[in-house]
Amino acid sequence: MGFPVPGDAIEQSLDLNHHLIHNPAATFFMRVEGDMVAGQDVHPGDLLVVDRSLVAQDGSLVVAAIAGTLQILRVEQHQGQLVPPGWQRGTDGDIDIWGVVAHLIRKV
Amino acid sequence: MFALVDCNSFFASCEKVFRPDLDGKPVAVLSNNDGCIVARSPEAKPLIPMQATLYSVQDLVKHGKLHVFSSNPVLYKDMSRRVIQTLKHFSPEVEQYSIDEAFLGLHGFTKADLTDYGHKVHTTVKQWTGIPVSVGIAKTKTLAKLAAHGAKRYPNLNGVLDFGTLADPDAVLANIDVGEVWGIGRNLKAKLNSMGIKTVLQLKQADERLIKKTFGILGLRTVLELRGTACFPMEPVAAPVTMRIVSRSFGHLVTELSDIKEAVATYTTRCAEKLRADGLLAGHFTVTIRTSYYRAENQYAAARSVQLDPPTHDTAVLIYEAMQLAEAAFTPGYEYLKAKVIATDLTPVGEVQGSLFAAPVDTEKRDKLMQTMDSLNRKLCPDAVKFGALGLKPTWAMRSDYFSQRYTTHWGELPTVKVWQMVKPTSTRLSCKPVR
Repeated sequence: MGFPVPGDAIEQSLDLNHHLIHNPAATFFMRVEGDMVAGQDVHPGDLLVVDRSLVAQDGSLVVAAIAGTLQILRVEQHQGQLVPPGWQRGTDGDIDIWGVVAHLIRKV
Repeated sequence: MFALVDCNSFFASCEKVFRPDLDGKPVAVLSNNDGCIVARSPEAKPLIPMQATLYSVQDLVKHGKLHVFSSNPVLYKDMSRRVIQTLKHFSPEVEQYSIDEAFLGLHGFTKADLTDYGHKVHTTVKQWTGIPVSVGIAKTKTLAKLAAHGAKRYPNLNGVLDFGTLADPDAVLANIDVGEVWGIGRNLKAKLNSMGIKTVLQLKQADERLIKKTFGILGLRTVLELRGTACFPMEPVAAPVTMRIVSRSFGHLVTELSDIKEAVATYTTRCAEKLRADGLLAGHFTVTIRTSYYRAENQYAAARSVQLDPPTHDTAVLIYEAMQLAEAAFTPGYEYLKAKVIATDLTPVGEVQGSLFAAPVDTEKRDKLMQTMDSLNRKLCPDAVKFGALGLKPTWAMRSDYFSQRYTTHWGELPTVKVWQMVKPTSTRLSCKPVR
């Protein structure tokens, strides 16, 4: 005799979409391109899950528009502004945060 | 209370979201086939009129003073979906009215909250999706639409106009052309003008009996809505689909039957895919072809239809029928611009009764074939697997020379980002422009 299927114990299988995307309307995928940069935790080819509804904070990994291109970087709080380390506001131009990187998916 | 949320220069805004280099620059989007301009960013509006042809703006494009894009409907549809999804966080009642407009039902909001609420909608949609919107709030849908126009026109409102907060609403309505009213098109406007009704205020104050007599109950409702009595309720459920149309202009004028047949076969394939995606069978199928409307002479248009028994969404069956219809509609000696295929008499799969007369078809096997084709084409690319009738190298295909990426729906076309690097200051003054 087999065991009965425990009806009330059935759960859905794990869904990565659910795990990685909290706000589908505001979530965009992006791809990292270019050369490997020493000392960076982001590699070319990485897939980014970018959530525009998250508010960037001190230490957030973000996608930002700098000089007209989308770039990925870590920002820190500096004189009330979120900027990359060593950034000189005024001399180095403007940075406009596009969205916060919620997850980073890397093929290994 | 109602709010109308209207996306500003929607198609152009979609293109700008992923292109920060175009921030503050004039952007225009072309119609299907790169024919004429159908959307302009605010920066482009003073430069070019709506409906301008690509030809007429080519100098601006060549000198980098205007950025044009071919229509990218896949992107626009996905961005539209995101806007609607965002709006659903604000009200349980959302009625999508067009690709770039939606009504929100605002029951239970107190008057004081409304402007604030409008600003919250405005900020959140921009933050989450990157799309700028205008919000109009009023007691009726018709007034909400006018309020949204106002919110768009006057930048000092920051994208939101609550009609109820106007000190003298009639003075505002006296300054708006009656043609701006929801549902009043060119013909109605001409008729109203001939009756001496030129402004929205004049329509609002028009004689009810006269309006009802001339324009029927719909006209009367519009007048009542302008007076603040809601006559058009929220309609959150989309009306059931009654037809599926695939229609495009050719890339250039076409004279050969063989080219027309290839195009019709391709549109038929798209149409059959749509039917299968929606679980519908077509009972009636029509093919139309025509020359350009803008030519003074040698115009021609023809339509041929067939009853499908049993109803079907099988690409092969539909192509077979479509080829005969195209042949029947074709007359040599004309320069054709456009073809259209229309599936009507639609019934959901499973509700169709077997036909008394038609030969039985092994539908299970056919369904499997269609499913396999659909999934291959979804995975690889459109038309990776197709019927021979579509041709290998279409000469009639649409022009879309300024196509942007399908940033949000195709893995191979995602926006790309660079890893940021501090540009070390140097002793000599070098300009450090990022390399593209």
